[in-house]
Amino acid sequence: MGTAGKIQRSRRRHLRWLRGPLALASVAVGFATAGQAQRKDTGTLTIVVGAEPNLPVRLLAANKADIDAASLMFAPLAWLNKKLMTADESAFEPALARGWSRRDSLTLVFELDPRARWHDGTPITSRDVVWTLNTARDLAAFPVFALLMREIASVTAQGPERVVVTFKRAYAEQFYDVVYHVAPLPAHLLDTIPAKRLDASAFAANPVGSGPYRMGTREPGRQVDFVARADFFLGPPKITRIVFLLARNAEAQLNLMLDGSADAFESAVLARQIAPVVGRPNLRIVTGPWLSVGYLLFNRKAYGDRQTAHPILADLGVRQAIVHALDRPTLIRSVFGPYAAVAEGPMGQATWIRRVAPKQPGFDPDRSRRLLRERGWLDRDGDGIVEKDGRPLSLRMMYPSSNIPRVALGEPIQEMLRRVGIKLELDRLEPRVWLQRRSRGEFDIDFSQVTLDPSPTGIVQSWTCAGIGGSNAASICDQSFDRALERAIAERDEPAPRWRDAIAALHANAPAAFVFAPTQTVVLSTRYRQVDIRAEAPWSHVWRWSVDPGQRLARDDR
Amino acid sequence: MTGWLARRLAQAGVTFALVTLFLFVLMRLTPGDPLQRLGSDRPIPALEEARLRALFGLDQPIATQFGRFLESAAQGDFGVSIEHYPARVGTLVASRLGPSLLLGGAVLAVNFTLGVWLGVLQARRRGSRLDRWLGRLALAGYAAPTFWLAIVLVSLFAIEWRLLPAAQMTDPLLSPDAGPVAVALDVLRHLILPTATLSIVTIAATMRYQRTAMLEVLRLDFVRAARARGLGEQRVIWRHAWRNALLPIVTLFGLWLPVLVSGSVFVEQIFNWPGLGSLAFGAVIARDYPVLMATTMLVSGAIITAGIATDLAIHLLDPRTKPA
Repeated sequence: MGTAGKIQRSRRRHLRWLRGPLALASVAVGFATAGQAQRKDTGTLTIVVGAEPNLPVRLLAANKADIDAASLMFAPLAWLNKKLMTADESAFEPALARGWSRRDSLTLVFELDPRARWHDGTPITSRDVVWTLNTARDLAAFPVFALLMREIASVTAQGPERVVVTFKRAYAEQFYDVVYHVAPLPAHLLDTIPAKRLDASAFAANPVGSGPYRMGTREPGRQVDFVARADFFLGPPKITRIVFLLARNAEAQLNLMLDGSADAFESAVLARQIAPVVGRPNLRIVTGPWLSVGYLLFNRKAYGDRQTAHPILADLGVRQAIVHALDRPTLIRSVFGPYAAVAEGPMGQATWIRRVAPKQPGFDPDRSRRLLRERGWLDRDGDGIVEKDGRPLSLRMMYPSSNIPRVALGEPIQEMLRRVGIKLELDRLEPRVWLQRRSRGEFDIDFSQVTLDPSPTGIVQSWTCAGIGGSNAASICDQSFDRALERAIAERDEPAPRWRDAIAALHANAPAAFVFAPTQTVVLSTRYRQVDIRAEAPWSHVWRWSVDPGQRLARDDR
Repeated sequence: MTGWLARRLAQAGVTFALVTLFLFVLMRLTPGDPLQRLGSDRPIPALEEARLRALFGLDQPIATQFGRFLESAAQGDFGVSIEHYPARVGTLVASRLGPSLLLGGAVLAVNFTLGVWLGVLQARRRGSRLDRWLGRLALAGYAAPTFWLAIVLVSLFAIEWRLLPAAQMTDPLLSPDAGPVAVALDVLRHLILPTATLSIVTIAATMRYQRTAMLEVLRLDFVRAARARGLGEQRVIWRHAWRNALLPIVTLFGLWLPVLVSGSVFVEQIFNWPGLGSLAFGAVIARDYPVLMATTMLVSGAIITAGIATDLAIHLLDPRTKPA
């Protein structure tokens, strides 16, 4: 070996001590890089929706898609908490209002968060809140909201960050009425537009909001994109882009989930419909209480005649007999599987009074037959159907052909009533025809399903004398229930017992047979963490979600 | 010929006007109120309902509504959609026309290239095993219900094997920076399953028409003469025989042409294809009169136009059929 070789070997020996630290450093750098990549928990969320949001502003919203889109783009003064306790203002979460206080039983004061900004960067001030609440109370422009907020006497600004709301009378849901129905709108952009023309304005199609997302691109009939605001005052969302993917067909909706094109889909479903999702490793079913309820509504007035009493259903005994004839747990198990509960009144699983309300009388076919017998309904000709004065106890039940749960439940209900001697004919109607007949009172029994507001006070519209001519399609008018309900709504300190009395009074009059209260069911990709889905607006808290770094997809960076 | 065309156009105009009037009246007589909204526990208050009726002109007598409709339709304005308010009907229809043309065009292209070629192949190999099997397969496709076939194809190719997308026309998260080639490839991937579904159930008709027409032509003297002159078989088939077996196919093509705009409700629903068929279906359910009028007028216009175009094409291809 020559001199050059010795020098080279000596250099190698000289550098050998560096190997260890270099290896350690490279491993550390590698870990750091991998760690950085692993820590990344931002991403996208593609939600399948059944309708297109055309007016994504709560004040103008025409359907659920509008309300869901509005919940991404507009923050309210305060969010309802997960228990949906509408009668307790301490159960709300601060949003645009960082705090609130009560001066007296008729006055609420809101303090706005000075960090809050509109999407165009303008600060959100008391002027915006005052303008929004006063506009919503304009009876000529927004009769629905004016009715909901009819107890508000005045809304005034005290400086840029304080709003004072006064009420006409003391009641438990004052706070709810201010914060739930509408979210503040930007007065600086809207106060020159007449209230009646807001729906046709450029703002309605592409709103400037206050929420964690602003509207991105929009492809009519296909999809609407929402882009996260990095400057959202409560923190930048980790779900950086949300896509509302429009799919009306139930088959297509589920297929988009199964082939991995979409990440989330909210639906009230039957057990057999959701079966393909069960067991898929990349999907899970998130369930929770919901605000929907399905019931058989008994018309108190004759078919299509609001003046004459119904020849059969005006009799309390017949109505009670129908309630006792239905084995509701069996009906629900066979059609919904685990995705519904027995309804115990005009409220969904998430309505807070459900936790205190008495149960509806249960399945008791013997009692049902006895009630009919006591009213003179007897099977004299032995055909299995009871008669009175030579007339069989025959009723027609209508429901929309588009509603899968009601279609599935129609025949089992028919069979259960036949067993106690009641003949039930089923009218499966086209949805708009069903609605038209309902509004005209052209039915004996209407198999209804409604999605309610979180507040139980909505019961007034559909179940009291005051609602006749409006939502009370069955002309129900029981003074004892109305009085009990009035007391429940007015009670501020201990509302639960009052509500219990009111629902007991409702059951005593048997205005309907409450059948099912569906569970909120969301098919969701397993990629998401910190998932928070709300009954009243499922996507309103997506800004708090994140993506599991181990399950990120290429599309999460788009 | 000019006189014939003028008469046909006049007839078409009268037919179109009658169809329009009939549709307009029939829609308003059909039970169901477009202002009733599903899923709401609160019906629209009387004040709001009155405002909406005035907004959509539904508070007027039918004759007045029809007059107003004609007036604005003549200017190309079909008004505002009730269901998709405040979207204008023209914008809605325009946004759905492209996807419908694409899907309809793809189906027609497959039908009248592959279908014609297979029909000719069957005729050339009449009575062979290939002829019999092609006939059986085509009939099996023809007999398959569209929605069932769509579900089977989606289950296999999209959900089980993940080879193709189950629905949509494009990837919802396709990058806005994607170039035209990437976009075209993406649309093509989404187009395969709906096109295959519609083609499988419709190609049998083309094949059978073409096979029968070719069989009739192939036994004629001029074909034998062409072969006797020593022409190649391909030339005899495609240049001589096929051109004379084209008339039934042109008629069939004319019948299929409206599919370009009418779309297919079932297929558009299952594949979530944003075409006119699903728009019209939604409008029927929602009693969205303005959208329904625009889509049905478009389809009836397409049917009438296709009828005239087919007659014209037949007269040009076969001068013997020209009217006196």
